[in-house]
Amino acid sequence: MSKADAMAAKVLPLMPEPTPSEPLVEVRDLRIQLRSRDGARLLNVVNGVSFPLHRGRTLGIVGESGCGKSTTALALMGLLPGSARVAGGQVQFAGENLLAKSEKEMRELRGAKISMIFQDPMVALDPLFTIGDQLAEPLERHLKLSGAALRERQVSLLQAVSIPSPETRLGQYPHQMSGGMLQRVVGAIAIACNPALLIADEPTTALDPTAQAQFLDLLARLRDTYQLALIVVTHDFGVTARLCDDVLVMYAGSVVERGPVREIFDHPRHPYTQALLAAIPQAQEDRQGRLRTIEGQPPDLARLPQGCAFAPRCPNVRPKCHELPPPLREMGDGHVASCWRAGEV
Amino acid sequence: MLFYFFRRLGRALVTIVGISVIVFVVARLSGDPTLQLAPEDATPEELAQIRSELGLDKPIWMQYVVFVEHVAQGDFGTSIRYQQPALSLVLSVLPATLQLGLSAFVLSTIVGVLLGVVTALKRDTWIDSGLRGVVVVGQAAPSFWLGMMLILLFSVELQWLPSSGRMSLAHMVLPTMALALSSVAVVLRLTRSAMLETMSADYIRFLRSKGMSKSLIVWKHALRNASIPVIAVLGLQLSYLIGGAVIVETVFNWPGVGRLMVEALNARDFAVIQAGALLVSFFTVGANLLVDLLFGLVDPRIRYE
Ligand SMILES: Nc1ncnc2c1ncn2[C@@H]1O[C@H](COP(=O)(O)OP(=O)(O)O)[C@@H](O)[C@H]1O
Ligand SMILES: [Mg+2]
Repeated sequence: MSKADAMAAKVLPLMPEPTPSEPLVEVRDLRIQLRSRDGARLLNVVNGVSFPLHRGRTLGIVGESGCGKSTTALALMGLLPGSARVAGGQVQFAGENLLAKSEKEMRELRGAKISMIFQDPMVALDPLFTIGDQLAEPLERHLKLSGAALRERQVSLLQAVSIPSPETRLGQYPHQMSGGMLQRVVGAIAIACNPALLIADEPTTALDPTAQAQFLDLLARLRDTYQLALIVVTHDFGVTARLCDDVLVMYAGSVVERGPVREIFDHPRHPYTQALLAAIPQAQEDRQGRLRTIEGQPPDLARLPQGCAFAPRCPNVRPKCHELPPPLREMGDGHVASCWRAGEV
Repeated sequence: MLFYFFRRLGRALVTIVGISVIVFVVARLSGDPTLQLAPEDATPEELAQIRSELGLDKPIWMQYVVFVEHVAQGDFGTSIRYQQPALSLVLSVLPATLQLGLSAFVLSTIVGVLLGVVTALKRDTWIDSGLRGVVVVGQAAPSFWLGMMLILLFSVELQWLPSSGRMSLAHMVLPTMALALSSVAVVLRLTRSAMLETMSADYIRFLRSKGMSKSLIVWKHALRNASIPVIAVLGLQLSYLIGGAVIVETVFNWPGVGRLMVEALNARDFAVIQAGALLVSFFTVGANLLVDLLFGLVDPRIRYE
């Protein structure tokens, strides 16, 4: 155990996993509809997403922007925007369906058992209140801490996310800290009440490269120390490689491929996954250092093609692809993909 | 914070000096008091003598210097109409004006902010549309017209409230309402749009993800952030209300600075005009200074600037 791990373990006692074989989170066929901006129709923004997640494990949700990653994450938190509605499916969390819970019940879980980290730390905190105040809020609300116990917990939480001189930092305002530092504060707030599930939506996109690497390491450390079930939403396969056990690739609201991270990297079955992997900038592959992106645009959700949503951009499309959407098929080793040609490769 | 305070204080002083110049010049543009004082058959020599007694024969800048010297010693001159020190005349009616202006200010701030929050939270419901209708009326209706309508309804028709004078608390109700309504409208509209903006901010979503209650999010975080643009116009509102009190005073026969000034203008009573305008501006500039300080208290980014 590193010094930081020891520090973190001191803060939050390790919770033994009750039944290691049972996943903590089991999302089944989640469907979300969103009223289009002109209000004219309902778009299927999330279209049958399923995955299991155990404590201490990390799932990466990958895909181009607009494919429904954030909407999926917000649905787990019960924080969908007013224009969205759950059209079907279940989110089992510790044996209960979160989608059946009332807003009041969800408020008890949010920040306590399930937490979330958002993309831009510069705007995640209220500029008018100190770090200490905003860190105290969930501790007071969920753990009913006050006085010296509260103070002690605040300090050790900042230590757990490797923030130097925590006593001083507690009295400071967000504008006095850097983006990387603020994202650590956000992380400290998220883990403040010892949650079981942590969702991080593009947690490093707004950070500079050094801060990115540090924050990913921090997430990994927090996950291991507290046995967090971690969901990392990203459009960057590099993040996935560093952090995740499993990867779920989304395209136009649907899961196109899901499996263990090594499987996905070594044997991607879906042409979209293959294209995303090829788009990772790699020195050997592209001497000019240019980012290879995928040809074409993601489809308009209001006008999804009848068959496979990826067919219009697919390099090895077949007539069948335009007719019927391919189902998710088992490829072995917990690897699933939805492509008519997935079995061929 | 201290630096911020002194910078604002300096600005307030410059404003006061500017106002004093304008007041001084405008009073002099309103006409020549000599004719009012002199007997009808006065000879040009007699007129010239009165003028020199009043110091009006000197160049205007010199008159201003003399004026400032005297003001610095608390001497605002003597009312030619009442033959009393202008300062004590104004001071005797100033409380009535401040009472009206400040109560309208407090009323419009509290009501405007509360209704602004409610309309933002109940966006696009009948409460929202109804109150926004009131806003449109409030902003369009001039305060004297509103005052007369209130008198017609509550004094003449219903006979619930007195329409004239300053004898009791009941006398305050109608003039305060007439004065406050347009200000309520401004504060409501501003609070509503600021609340809508802050409620969609990222930190509100993060607060929700922490499981914070709706009331804590609205009243502690969103309202405090929304108050920044609202505070920015509060100073303006206060100046407007104290100025507006002058008009409403005439409608409700309220014995304040406004009524005194109207009389003084008719009589070319320079000393009273100057004293009245300067004292009122002291109060509004002072109030604006307080508002600036409030900014610093609410927003740490300004405090640490
Ligand atoms: N508030 C909203 N109103 C209407 N459409 C939205 C809203 N938020 C997101 N969308 C649409 O929903 C789809 C999924 O968005 P999102 O879940 O944010 O994708 P991602 O996180 O993968 O970038 C996109 O097509 C986006 O345009
Ligand atoms: Mg997103």
